[in-house]
Amino acid sequence: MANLDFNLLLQATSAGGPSALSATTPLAPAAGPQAAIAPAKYASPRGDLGTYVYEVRFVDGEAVHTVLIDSAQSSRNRMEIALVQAIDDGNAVLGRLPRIRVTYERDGLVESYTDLELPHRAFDAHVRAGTVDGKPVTQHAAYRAARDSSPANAWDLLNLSPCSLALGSWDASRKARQGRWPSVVTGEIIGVLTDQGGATERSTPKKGGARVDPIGMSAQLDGATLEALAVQQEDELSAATFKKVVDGARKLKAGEKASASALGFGGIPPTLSQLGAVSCRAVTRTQVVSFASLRQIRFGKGPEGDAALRAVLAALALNGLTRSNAELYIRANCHLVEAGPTRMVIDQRGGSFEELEPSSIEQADALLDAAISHAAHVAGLDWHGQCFDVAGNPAVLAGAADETPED
Amino acid sequence: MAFAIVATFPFGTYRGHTGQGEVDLFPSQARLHAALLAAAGSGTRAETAGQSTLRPCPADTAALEWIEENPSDGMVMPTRAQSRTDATAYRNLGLLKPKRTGIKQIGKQDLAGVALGGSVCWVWETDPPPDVRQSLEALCPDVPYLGQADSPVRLRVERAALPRLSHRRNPGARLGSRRPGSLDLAVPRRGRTAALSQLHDLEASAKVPTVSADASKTDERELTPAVCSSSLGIERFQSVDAQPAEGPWEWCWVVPFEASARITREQAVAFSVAFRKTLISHFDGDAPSLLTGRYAEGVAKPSNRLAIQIVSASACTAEPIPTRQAFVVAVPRSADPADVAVIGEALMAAETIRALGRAVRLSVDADRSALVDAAAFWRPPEDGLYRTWSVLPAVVETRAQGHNWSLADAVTLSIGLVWKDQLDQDHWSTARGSERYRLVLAAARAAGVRVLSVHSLPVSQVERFVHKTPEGLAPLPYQASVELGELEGAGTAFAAIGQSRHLGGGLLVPNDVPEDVAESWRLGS
Repeated sequence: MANLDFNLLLQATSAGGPSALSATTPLAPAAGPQAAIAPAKYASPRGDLGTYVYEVRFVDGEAVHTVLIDSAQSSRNRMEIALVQAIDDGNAVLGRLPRIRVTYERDGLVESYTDLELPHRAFDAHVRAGTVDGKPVTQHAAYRAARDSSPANAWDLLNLSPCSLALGSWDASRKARQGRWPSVVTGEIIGVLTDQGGATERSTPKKGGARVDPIGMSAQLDGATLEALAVQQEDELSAATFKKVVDGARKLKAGEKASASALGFGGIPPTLSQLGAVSCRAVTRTQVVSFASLRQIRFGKGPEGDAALRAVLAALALNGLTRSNAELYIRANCHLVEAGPTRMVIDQRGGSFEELEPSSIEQADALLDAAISHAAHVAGLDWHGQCFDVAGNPAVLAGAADETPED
Repeated sequence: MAFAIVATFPFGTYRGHTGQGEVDLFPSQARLHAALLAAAGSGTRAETAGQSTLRPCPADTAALEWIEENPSDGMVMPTRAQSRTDATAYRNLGLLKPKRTGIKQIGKQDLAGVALGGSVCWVWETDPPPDVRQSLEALCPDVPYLGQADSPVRLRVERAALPRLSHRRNPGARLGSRRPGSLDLAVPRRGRTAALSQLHDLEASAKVPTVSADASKTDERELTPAVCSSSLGIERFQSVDAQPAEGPWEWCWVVPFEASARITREQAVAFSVAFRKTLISHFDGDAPSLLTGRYAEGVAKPSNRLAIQIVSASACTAEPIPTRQAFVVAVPRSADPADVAVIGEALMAAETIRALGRAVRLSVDADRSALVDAAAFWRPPEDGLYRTWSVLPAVVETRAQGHNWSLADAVTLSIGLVWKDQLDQDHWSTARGSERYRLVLAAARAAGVRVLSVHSLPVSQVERFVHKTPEGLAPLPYQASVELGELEGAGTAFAAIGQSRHLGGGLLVPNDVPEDVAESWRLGS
């Protein structure tokens, strides 16, 4: 079985290359087949409890009920986190990646976010609202050039925010000439449900939570004591919670008492009030890297140069995929292990397929390194970890601070 | 030699949305054409048309125009399963007045899709010209996705080993020829390639926004791209293996009666209830559930029960009615033959029906024991006429479905519930409540049920149209005109819909219109 080497990658990003590479991996609950796992939870307009995404899928020709454990968007976010961590750890190859970095200062502390973390990548509002050298980002020549990129020539965006090209981005609020870049990589994890009496939200098991207070299950305190405790804990409470407790305490008349549960005292009896975990008889992760998507992008460097630059993006996507696959942490109560080898196939024109050996992280790094070097040689790519530094807009920070989870 | 474009979805799902934001159930040829054009216009075969624009090469344009002129002769549509979810993913939206409202979040329900049991194929029975074929062979692998970007596809041309067609295009299809399993799918018409290219050129050549227009604002909205709906048509692809649908009722007795005056539409429910009481009284407290509608706890209730309706001699029944009016007692499909036999005996014994201070005498001359085929109850439409249905005397809505529930939804749901056993139930058999109603509604629409008109009746005495009123709900009587699509392709079956369908309400009566008129209702005509 062959490895995905650079020559194959270059062929895939050139005219006449294959459509896509797909990787399928069987997974299983880490605790064994009897263990239930927590799927991705979504909001539901029908209630606060939320919901899971149930679907019918055909597996080996049989219609089965499945649940979405990890979505395409979430899968790409995992790739981005893996890339960020590698850069932070000083990875020499990924350290060459150009990126946009937005910095905020909050309470004397500096917070930075790159286009690998911001949801809309290069076109994220945090970037567009910021400034460079005191001037709005939207006036900066390099940013304007990247924003004006089109499929006919995406060179400027490639050198400012390659992740926006590899993982997708849409300049959705721009008046005209919006950049619309579909992701070249997508993936998901689905679980085939065991028989749970029908796969609907009605049959989703519930889970409960409880808090035991060894001193007493109900802490009823007078107003003065409540207020004193709240003042004592003010730094740990949100402004809204603090105000609510203090205002409530001051309204109490002499002899009246109120619950101190908001301050963490007293117990909470167990109730089944949250979506529980589900049991799956098979879990599958599927990922697709689309070379057809990449071939829709040019960089003004001619067929050879354009193919070389597409190969860089393909290698970047594969690198993120390989790194995120190496870490199987999905979320709490969703611990998975690989139950078999990854099957990776690339299609050849005419309906035939070639099976490939999945890459290790080291091989993925080597592939990206080769791609960058080749593109530097034939297309003049100059990646050396350049960061487009943006000062975050303080007004945005103030607005974000208005909304806290306790509210 | 036959020629096919084969679409294989690596995730086994097709995810697309129609212009109204609803889940697209089938990747249409129009969508295939648009995807091929996108690949031709920006892929490796595209030509440079200016400093920052590309356009399809002439060979690819010719191939796309060939598709406009030559819709595929058939399709292979694999086994499908539609999943619906109201799961909502929220995301931050720009900078919508952060100081006043915090970061604005919007919800998006784009997780639903259609699971496919195999590849989708568009089949042409004769090869296209060699240059067209070569262009399509080169273009197909450059199409990254059909539908949403998260719906990746592998597209290829196949000339040998083509699978058997599941659907064949019917070039002469008209409204009345809809059969079970028919798919009415969008196809590109002459000029579609040019129209889409023109729209793309317009967007690509738009002036780059000025610096001030590009400035970050505190009230930003997502601007969606324009949609091109010109030069689109609809082609009907009929299922190769379709069998005629079975109606909800299998047999019926036609019982003419004599009365001093006609039983009016407003009196039909009362007389039908009285007829049922007469039949029940024959059993001395042991009437079958098929007749009473009462089932023991734990026993699954069938979709339909014995229905009693009143029809006039002037109606276009297949067999003439010898008196001015007759009762029709219809037996639902799969009824226990033993129950049917004893109800038949009760029917033979009945003589007079009393209601509203009047009495009608059932005819003794007719052979009441003869069972008529309910599937051939009405005469077929005459040549040149297309059959729609009017609901008489009225349907009564007795459900509370919230502010998004229209009367058109109510009538479609009522039809779906009556034909429940004939609809694909895989996805909603376990659903309950309003979720189940929504899924039945979607299944009925997918089967071609259309509401042509509907209006509520301004009556105060709703009890004329309803025999039982749910507690806390005000029944709403309405009349409607509907198409039954593939549920009743022959247009001859006895059926009634709605809460009082078993007792004098909601009878579907043929209402024929010239085919040309009906044809003008079709999309794309």
